[in-house]
Amino acid sequence: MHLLDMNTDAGPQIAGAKWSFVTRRVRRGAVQKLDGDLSAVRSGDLVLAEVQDIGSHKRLQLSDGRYSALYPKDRIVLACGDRFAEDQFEGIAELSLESADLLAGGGVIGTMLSRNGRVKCPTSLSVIGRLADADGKVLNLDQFALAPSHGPAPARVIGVLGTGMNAGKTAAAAGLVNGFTRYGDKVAAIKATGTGSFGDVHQYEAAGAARTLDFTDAGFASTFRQPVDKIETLTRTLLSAASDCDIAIVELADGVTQVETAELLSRPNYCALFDAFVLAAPGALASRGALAWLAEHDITPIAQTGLMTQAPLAAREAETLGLPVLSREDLSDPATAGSLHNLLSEACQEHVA
Amino acid sequence: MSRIHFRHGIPGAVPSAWVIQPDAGDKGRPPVVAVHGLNRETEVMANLLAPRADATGRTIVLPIFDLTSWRRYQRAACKQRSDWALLSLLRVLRDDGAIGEGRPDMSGFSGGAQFAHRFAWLHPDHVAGLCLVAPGWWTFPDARGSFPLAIGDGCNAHEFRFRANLKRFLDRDIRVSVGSLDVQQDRNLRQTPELNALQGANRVARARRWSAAVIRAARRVGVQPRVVFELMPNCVHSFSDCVANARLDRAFVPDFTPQPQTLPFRGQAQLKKVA
Repeated sequence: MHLLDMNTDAGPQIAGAKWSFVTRRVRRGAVQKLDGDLSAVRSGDLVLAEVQDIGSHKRLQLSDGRYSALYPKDRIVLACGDRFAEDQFEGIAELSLESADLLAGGGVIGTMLSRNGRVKCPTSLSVIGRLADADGKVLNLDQFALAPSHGPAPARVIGVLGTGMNAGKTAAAAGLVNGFTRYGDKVAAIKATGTGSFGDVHQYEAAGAARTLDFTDAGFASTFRQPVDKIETLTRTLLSAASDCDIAIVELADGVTQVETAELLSRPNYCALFDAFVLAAPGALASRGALAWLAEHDITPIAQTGLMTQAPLAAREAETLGLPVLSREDLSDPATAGSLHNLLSEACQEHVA
Repeated sequence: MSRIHFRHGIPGAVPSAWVIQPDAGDKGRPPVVAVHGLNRETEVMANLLAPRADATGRTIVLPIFDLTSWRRYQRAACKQRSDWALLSLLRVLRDDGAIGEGRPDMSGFSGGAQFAHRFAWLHPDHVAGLCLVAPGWWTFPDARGSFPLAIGDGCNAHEFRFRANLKRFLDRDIRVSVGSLDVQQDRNLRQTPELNALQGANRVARARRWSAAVIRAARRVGVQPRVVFELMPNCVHSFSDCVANARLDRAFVPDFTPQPQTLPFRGQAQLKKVA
């Protein structure tokens, strides 16, 4: 695969390409050229690549919400980005002439640094070039993002935290969305950090969210290794975009000690965006550890949830920690939503008093 | 003359119901939901209560929690979720214009009173005043036992919800009535050593203790108690008997008086966030 010279016409190269989920906000008419210079690549740059060897990711999440099986020589449009996934890959937003890796099925391309021993090598890609506009300026997701805003947020914001990947955060967030929707609220579901993927957004939609947003709407393919100031701004932007809703459920990816999440939760101004947090954990001991870490940061979740609630023994063990243990089914109960409202309203009144 | 309609439900989802509409009256006036006891004699109740629809100008809804779909309806948050079923019924009736938008008063006799107090506790924003008549046993507003005998001090979902809603549940008019002769330990009166020790040996003792516990709990959480306890003279455990001897129908379908209560949370207008 030869890299293209700068300012090559994009049309013939990109025709028939599959556009990935993270590119869904891109105005395709803006793409006029291809840029073969990869030395200045930065996170969020749009990239046209060709599939070489199918590895871990056998399907691509398309911009229209469908999966598409991948075949060698498929041309796909992706965004360059970093990846933090304990059970898959660690990767960075760098591209080389030799090869590149499909780091996430939502359409993130970069270079793998390490992988979980239980997963195959990533699907390997050849970069054809970065997408550019008519002037040859490389296109980045941030050009198609919501404008940064510090405007009003929904009146109530609940954050969903976890002990790590696959702790049950998204299921808990979807449960909350469903419960508050059935209670009668207009609910926004927001994924504030992580790597672009439509799986979470689809779960929020299925749960009845009136509005679903994630960091890709704010111009990020991934929030890993992004400046925390930017992540704070993107969270405010997404909350502002959901200001017509009564309540927002905001999921933060990975565990509370993940580097960006930990820094965000250490910021009082960031925590002040939330009225309450729930903690998802796979077991009581993991919950105990996360609660201890959160306590050091003056955060006390209102409830525990997550995978452990599927095991009655684990749930009972977690109850001994003194915080309510609510399963996804409990969270999707409108009675629970009403109880959470009452609890938070009373806490707010006491705070004001 | 009030009109009594039978409204078919959807098995397992929406209970059938008797809907009694006044001949004249304000359609927007909040209805009264009257909940039957374990004997499910709703037709008798409907006929006894029908004159109150005209007298008060209020629509009366009598849901029928049939034995097949809602065997343990009195628990409210039971496996069959009779609370969700009633919410669905009220939504359907509102959508059809059969009842107004306001929060209904809720009354219950025997098992119906069990359901009514637990429903209002689970969904305090969906009920105004309560009239609770002679339930066999109660959920107490303290930690003297675990749910459903009381609200416990545990961390499961039931106890979390009941504790979180306690203040809002207590912030309403609650009328507790029981026949003075309702002291028989009949087969519908649940009895265990633990229950008898906590709540009393019969319905009169249990109603007294619950009323006192509610008053204590209200004071504890900073709510002015609005609880009335009434011992109905010469009444046994029979709805007809209580209507005939103590005019229970008047308490069961009260005149409409707006209750002072904090509005439920709805959007930003009602909450000033603490930064």
